[in-house]
Amino acid sequence: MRTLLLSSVLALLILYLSGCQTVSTIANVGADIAAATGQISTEQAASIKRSTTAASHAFERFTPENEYYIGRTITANILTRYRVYRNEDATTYVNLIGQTLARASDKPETFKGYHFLILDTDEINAFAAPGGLILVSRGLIGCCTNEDELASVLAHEIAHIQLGHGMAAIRSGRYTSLGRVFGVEVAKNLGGEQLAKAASIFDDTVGDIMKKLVDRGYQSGQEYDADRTAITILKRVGYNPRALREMLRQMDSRLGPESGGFGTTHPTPKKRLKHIESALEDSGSVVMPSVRKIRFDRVMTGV
Amino acid sequence: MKRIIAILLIVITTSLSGALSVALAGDMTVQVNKTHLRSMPAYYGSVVATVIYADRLHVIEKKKSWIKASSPRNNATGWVHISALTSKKLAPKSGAVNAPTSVSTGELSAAEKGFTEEIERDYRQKNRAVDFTWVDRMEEITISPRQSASFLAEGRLRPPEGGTP
Repeated sequence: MRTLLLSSVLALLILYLSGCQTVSTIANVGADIAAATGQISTEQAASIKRSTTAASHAFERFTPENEYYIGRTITANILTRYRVYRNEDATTYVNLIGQTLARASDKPETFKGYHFLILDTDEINAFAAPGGLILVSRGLIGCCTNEDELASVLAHEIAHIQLGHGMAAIRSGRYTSLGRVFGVEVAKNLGGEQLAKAASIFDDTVGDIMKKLVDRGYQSGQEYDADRTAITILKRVGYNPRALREMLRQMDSRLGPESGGFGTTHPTPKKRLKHIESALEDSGSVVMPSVRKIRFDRVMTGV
Repeated sequence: MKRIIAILLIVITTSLSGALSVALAGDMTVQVNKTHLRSMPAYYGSVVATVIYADRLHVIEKKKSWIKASSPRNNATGWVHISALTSKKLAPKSGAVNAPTSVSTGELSAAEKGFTEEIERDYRQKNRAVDFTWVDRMEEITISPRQSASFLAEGRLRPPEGGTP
């Protein structure tokens, strides 16, 4: 009871402070104190700190339109490295599942909505660019045996967007630099020098996210947070949250140390499985109607 | 200890509710390219009107993460998910149906003037090897309400309501 009360106070405090400049610092200190005194686990404290850090980045006020243009350029760069898998039925099916899940997330509205494509590669990989452009590889779809498992993959990617992990990878000085370029003067069209400076900051911003998204991966804790959020999203529309566990088990059997993709950028499936256990214990199970297996097989066999 | 917690709770909830009522009394702005006002606070609510970037809405009521608001531009009232809105004023896009505007451009944030179509155009000129063709194509993939409804019904899934953090 006492723990619950303290957690509630802490949550309220963080919520309250989310409007303040000092949100990150104060919430982090609060989380540390609660963890140190044993009121919450160190994992819960870490999760609170990650959320508030992402929130404080969001408060740097890059708009949804900014996110959209950043996300488009990131997606275009990824699509120069991978070929698109051109199968209209499979693409429509992934968009049906993905857009349903996106509308059940805490961030259903982005500047131009959520859209999904399949990458034509055996590599196990997926990318969620800010703004809602999501790419999933054939290799990752190969870790799924039914619709609910595919939904768990897409829900994890949507969770990264909801939690602002891509935007949080932007170095904190970028927004300030952008402000300096424009100053107080308002120009309808950018002058040559202004444009060059803003374009350079844009390059750096895209680079910040590409480094995390494609090369190094997010922090392990962010991946665990995305898994837990995915479970919440799956439950909201009636998918079986335990499908995430089944998918991760299959990924574990397919992902080798030399696999690249998730093998480089994500914590191992075993570690992810360990971290979702508590969330799954509380979430119950859903019996998947056979139609969701049938329509998955109809569209995805051979992908 | 309990007393400290109680005092803290009272202070926070009082100031929180104050902040919320202020926000609800005011106007909000559409910050996404396009979205809908709906008859109910859920995505299965029928579409009452379409609102676009920079439209100002008068807030009437809040239910979880849905805002009931009226749009003076098209004389309609309906529900919209809060993630589509901002409390800031935004300048309409030139040529859009809601332009011109009385919004002072001085109120625009640096970011709003920052990464826009103009910056992407410049990026594409400098990086011709980066191909945006499929980015444009994937944005055109749309799911109709009818397609979505039959997909949900067949799969025995619940229509999404838009989450609340």
